Amino acid sequence: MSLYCFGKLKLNTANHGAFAFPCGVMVRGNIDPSDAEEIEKFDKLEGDGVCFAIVDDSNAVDATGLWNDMVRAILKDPSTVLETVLGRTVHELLFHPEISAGGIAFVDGGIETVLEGEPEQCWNWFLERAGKPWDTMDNPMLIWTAPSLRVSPH
Amino acid sequence: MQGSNRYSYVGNDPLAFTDPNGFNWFSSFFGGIFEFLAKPIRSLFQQVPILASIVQIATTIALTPFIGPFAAAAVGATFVTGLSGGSLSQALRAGAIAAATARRSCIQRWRPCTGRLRASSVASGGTCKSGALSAGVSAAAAPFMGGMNGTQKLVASAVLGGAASVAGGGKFANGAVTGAFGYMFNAAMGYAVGGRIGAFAGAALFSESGPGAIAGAIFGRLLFGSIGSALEDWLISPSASEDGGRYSGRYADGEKAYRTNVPRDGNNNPLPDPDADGPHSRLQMDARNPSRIYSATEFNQEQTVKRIDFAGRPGDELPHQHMYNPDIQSFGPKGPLSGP
Repeated sequence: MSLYCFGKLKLNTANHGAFAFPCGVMVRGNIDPSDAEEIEKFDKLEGDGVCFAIVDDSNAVDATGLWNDMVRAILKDPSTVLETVLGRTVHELLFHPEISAGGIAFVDGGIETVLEGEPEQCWNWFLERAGKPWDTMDNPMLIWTAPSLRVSPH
Repeated sequence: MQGSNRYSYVGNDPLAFTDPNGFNWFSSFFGGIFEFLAKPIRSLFQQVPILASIVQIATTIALTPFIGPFAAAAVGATFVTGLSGGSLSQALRAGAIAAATARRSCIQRWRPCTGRLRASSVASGGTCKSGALSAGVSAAAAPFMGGMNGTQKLVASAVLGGAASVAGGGKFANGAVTGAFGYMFNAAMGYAVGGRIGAFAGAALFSESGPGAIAGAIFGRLLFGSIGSALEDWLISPSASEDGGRYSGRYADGEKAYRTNVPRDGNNNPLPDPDADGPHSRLQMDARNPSRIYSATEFNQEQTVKRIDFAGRPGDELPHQHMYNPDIQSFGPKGPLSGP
């Protein structure tokens, strides 16, 4: 195994083709069908949406290199996580205005931990893991819902 | 009154259930409605008692693929106990007990207040009620212990069993012993789904056999539990595991892979084999197919050298290797296999 990063985004618009991923990251739209099946098991992610996999380069299916780059950066200076490709991409997806809900997994194998919360919570969960070796993680799936969708008391 | 069937108050299974007080305000309401709806069926059950067992088994088997054996056993027992003339409380209790016992292998061989649970509770000086609570709670909590190791599960079972015993009027120590005993029994004797259903079937069939009911039930659980488990092994998967984890990629031949964890130290780093001297590998076997190697971590004495992966996502070269990078205390990008 390697470090695989994949997920699904639920958009505010039906025009999925118009959605643009953050610049500077290589994204594949065709993910492992079995991973797609796993994703569909999560209530907030089932149905229409954009499946994606973040990869090291156009020939890769994993993101091991991107994760290791992030680890190296954080080991030198933890505040630089947003300067890494993976850190910046995750942050932009979590707080993207066109995304109503989303899920992103970082797994060396299969999903072992499911963490659901607001984008801020998911970002903190990501940061807790971002500096750790990819093979020692709890293989999390972060699932978030945009604040605009939360039920208002009024 | 329980009708002509003297065991209807315990869902036709006196080995499994008790009715200590005999009344409940809700049961009157339930009985009024159910009397009208279930009278013809109950009459049939009383004429042919084994029908109730068959319906219960069929319900459990039919629902298991959709809601799992745990809930299926609960629904089956609740449904049949209600149809058999039991009150709502009895029906729900039958369902709850069936669910709790179905969760682990105790339903295959014993039920609360008869075999394992009574033995463990009474042996430790407790009451049947508190003993059943202890065992039921610790068994029902088993699904939530997925991330624990064996020792942690044992301790958790003991604590939960003790707490439940106190709630049921017993002593903490007695319940703790029951919970711990139940965990160890289940861990040692655990069957998969087929075993549960088979045991359930055997017990239900034999428990109506008159004077030999107790021996019959035990025999039925042993015999049918083994048969059901063997059938499942043969029909479904030679090594299916409940705790086999989620899909973790595929092997080169296309078979799905399910990851297990290699032994790790306090910092979560792979541990070398303590008995090995010099270069060696630790194999990580597939969680659902112990005959397949999922990955192999190579060490040179205590130094991690590389990891060879035999499974990956579509597009991965298999097998491939990740060399260990001490700078980041992790494995680097994947690459083709190389020599030692």
